[in-house]
Amino acid sequence: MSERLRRIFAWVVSVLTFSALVAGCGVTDPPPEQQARPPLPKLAEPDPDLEALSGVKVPRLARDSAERRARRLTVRVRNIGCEGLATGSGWALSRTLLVTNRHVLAGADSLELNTWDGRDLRVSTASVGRLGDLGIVGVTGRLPQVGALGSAVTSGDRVTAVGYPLGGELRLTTGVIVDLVDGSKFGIPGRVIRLTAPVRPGNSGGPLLDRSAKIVGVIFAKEIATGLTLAIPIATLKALVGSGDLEPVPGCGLE
Amino acid sequence: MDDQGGCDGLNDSVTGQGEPLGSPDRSPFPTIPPGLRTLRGPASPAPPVSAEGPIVLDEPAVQIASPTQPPRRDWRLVAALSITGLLLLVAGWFAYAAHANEEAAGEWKQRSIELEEQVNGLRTLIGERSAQLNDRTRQANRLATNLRATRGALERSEGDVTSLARRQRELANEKAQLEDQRRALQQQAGALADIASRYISCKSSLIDVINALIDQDYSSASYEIDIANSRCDSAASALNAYVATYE
Repeated sequence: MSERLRRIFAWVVSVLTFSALVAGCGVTDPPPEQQARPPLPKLAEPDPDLEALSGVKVPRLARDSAERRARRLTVRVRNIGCEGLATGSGWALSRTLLVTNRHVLAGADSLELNTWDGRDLRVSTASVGRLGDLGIVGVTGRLPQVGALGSAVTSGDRVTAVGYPLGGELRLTTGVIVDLVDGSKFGIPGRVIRLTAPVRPGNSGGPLLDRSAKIVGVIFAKEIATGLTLAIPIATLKALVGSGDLEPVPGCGLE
Repeated sequence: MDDQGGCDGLNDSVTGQGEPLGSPDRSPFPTIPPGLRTLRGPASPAPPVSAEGPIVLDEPAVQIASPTQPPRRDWRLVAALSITGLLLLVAGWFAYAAHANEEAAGEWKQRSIELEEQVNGLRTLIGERSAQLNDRTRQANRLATNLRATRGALERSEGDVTSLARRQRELANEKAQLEDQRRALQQQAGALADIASRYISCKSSLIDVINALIDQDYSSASYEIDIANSRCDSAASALNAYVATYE
């Protein structure tokens, strides 16, 4: 190979190599000019008490309390009969029906009802169960609050007895269910609830409430031997209402 | 020279530029070792021998003695071609890499532009959301203030309602008690009126007895006394019953 040929060859190789080296080296456009960005708005400072407010408990309103419902639910019953004047308690099964005890209604020449807020209600009809110590009173007008019926109770359940002891102010007393016993020895069909909540004469016919203020029984007596309060389970009342086994209120001297 | 197979270096050393092999005091012909044979064919005539100068041989005997050695020109050509090929290969790889890098750079650039647009959009969104959040914070602050005030008012109102309800219950109880007393008094009044009527009846019977005695009508007086006794006993028993019931 001649020297000239060799130089040509070397030049070609160099050109090719250089071309290959720079073949992919294109010029990339520079990035667009940086735009002026507005600053982000500064966040407003929250009220320091705002966080504390989230933990604030809204005061419980008296209108929503179980006590208020219990008070509105329970009605004072005045029995004016041949043996003088007697008082008892009752509660609203509906807007126009009141539940109480048979012995609260017995011997009445007239019956008068007083609501918690001092209103007087007229009695349209009254009847009592043939068996057991339950009575139903029809009311002219509207009872303030209708009771919600609860389910069966068991020993140890906390309950509240509501009524007008001695015809005085409405009282709520609390206690627990002791047991459920056979009601035949008390003249009550089915079973009878025994509980520790203290009651006095005038509580008769008042509601027995569970913890959610639902009615689980009707107070009717106090057991002398043990001092325990006795109540008729709500199931017995439902059975009486369902069977319609009612009779007129016995008159003076018939009870 | 060309007809010697292209080995220029060898030729150069042998031809006129090279050093002559023999010397005048030595034999003009190299000694051929035993067992070697020159490559010159037998048909070739022997070169003419000059009587004045040394005899120049066309080819050295040593070269003739190694016929299997490859020519040096082939080796260098192969090496040059190999290096050239290698260079071209590397240059090709560089070219490919540079091209790929340029494309990748373009893609990255495109992607960064898109991301920048997204960032700008997000910044705008953050700005709007921040403004809304500020509005909400201001509203929450106002609500907090109102809530504090309302809570205080509610507690006062609740206290008022509770005390009013208590007072209402007390009044209702007083009313009920008074009604009880009124009913009891009504019953007592009725009982006393009954007792009074019985005593009036008793009294009229006694007056009848007295009148019969004044008239000396003893049979009538005896009859009226029985009636008076019965009526007065009834009045007395009613009074006793009243006393037993209400006292």
